[in-house]
Amino acid sequence: MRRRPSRDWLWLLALLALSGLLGSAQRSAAAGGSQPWFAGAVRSALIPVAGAIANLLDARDAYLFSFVSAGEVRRLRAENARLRLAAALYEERLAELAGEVDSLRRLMRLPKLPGRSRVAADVVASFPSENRLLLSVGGNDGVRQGMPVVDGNALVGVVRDVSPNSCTVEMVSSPSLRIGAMALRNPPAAGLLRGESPTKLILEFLDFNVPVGNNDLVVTSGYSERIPRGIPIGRIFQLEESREFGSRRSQVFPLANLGTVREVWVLQ
Amino acid sequence: MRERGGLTGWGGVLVAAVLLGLAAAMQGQARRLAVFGAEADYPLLVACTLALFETSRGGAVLGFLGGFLQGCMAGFGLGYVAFSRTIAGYLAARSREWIGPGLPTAVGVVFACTAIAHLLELFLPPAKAVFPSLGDTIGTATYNGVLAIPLYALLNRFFKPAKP
Repeated sequence: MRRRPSRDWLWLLALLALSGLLGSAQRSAAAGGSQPWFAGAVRSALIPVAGAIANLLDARDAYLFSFVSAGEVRRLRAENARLRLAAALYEERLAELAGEVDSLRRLMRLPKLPGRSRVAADVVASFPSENRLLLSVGGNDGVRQGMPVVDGNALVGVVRDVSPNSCTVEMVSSPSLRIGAMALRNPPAAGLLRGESPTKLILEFLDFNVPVGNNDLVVTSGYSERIPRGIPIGRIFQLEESREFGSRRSQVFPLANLGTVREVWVLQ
Repeated sequence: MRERGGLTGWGGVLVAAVLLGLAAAMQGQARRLAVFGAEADYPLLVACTLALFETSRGGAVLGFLGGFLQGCMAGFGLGYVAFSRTIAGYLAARSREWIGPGLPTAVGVVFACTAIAHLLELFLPPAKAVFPSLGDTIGTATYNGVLAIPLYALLNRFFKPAKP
């Protein structure tokens, strides 16, 4: 009886050491934009289950919503049909213009713009306190590290690491993510955007004298290999200036609903 | 079921594996299942509740597996999550050995071990804001404590606590 607890302590210490080893394997794989093989295997096994749970919750929400307001459901269905028609018209025109831009860039021997094609993905898991999302698409679908992820309105985040059938997205609200952004003005005010909280982002301007104001739309600047120019990010709601230190920054409210996003597009 | 109790045989292993897998898959939807802003920690709930039927060695293994699955799904912090869950699982099993089995023990142990695991994570990198995280920890521990009631009652029908 006296030997048993000491053996259990050994098991505990061994498992704690193993935790450290696995953690370090995950960190080094994530630095290279991937996940270790064992994490990929666990994800492959559990993502279908996570997807089924998400679908069940969607069905529960839809049922409760329809129960509360049948009239609202009818109105939203009609609006959905109208918006589908409008989107189809815009998509045709957009594809035509994008083709024109591509051929002009080819003529000028410029590289192809990123973000031309997109992959639809489900958010199978959300970790808001860590500013991460797990998506149902991965390397097998053409997803690569650094690709931007958008919902219907705006930029949600950037792909952080990729497994064959899944990927992790770092949301714009993450303090460790830096994105080139600009306030839409004439001339545009460019700067570097970072996250602070799910409802507040910080845009630090490069030029102190460029005009900006509250409610200005902030979009991606396109000074990146993978993130195209012009993806909406949010709106400025407060400006902070410090002439002594020559710094100027603004607080930005994100347009994407980071807490409840369920379906997204990965721009390739 | 063998005389020594615990999650013995293939049945016990299968139940533990299925419950931990389901819990890890469910954790990504924890926000949608929040009550008054408090989110449950499903892998920790399952690991601690199952640990109440196991020896401290089994508890540590269950905690480790819960943390491992959770860290793999999240894609970050695997080391910290597995570390804190291993300690929580070990303590859950040890507490049951000290206090004795029963539903009130289950609620108290799951509450305490959830709080300990989350407090441990608070002091591990990356740095977090202390006061909001403390509030979240209390909310999660309470939610887990409440969820432990039906889960323990269900498991108690099929398994007996292991003899230390």
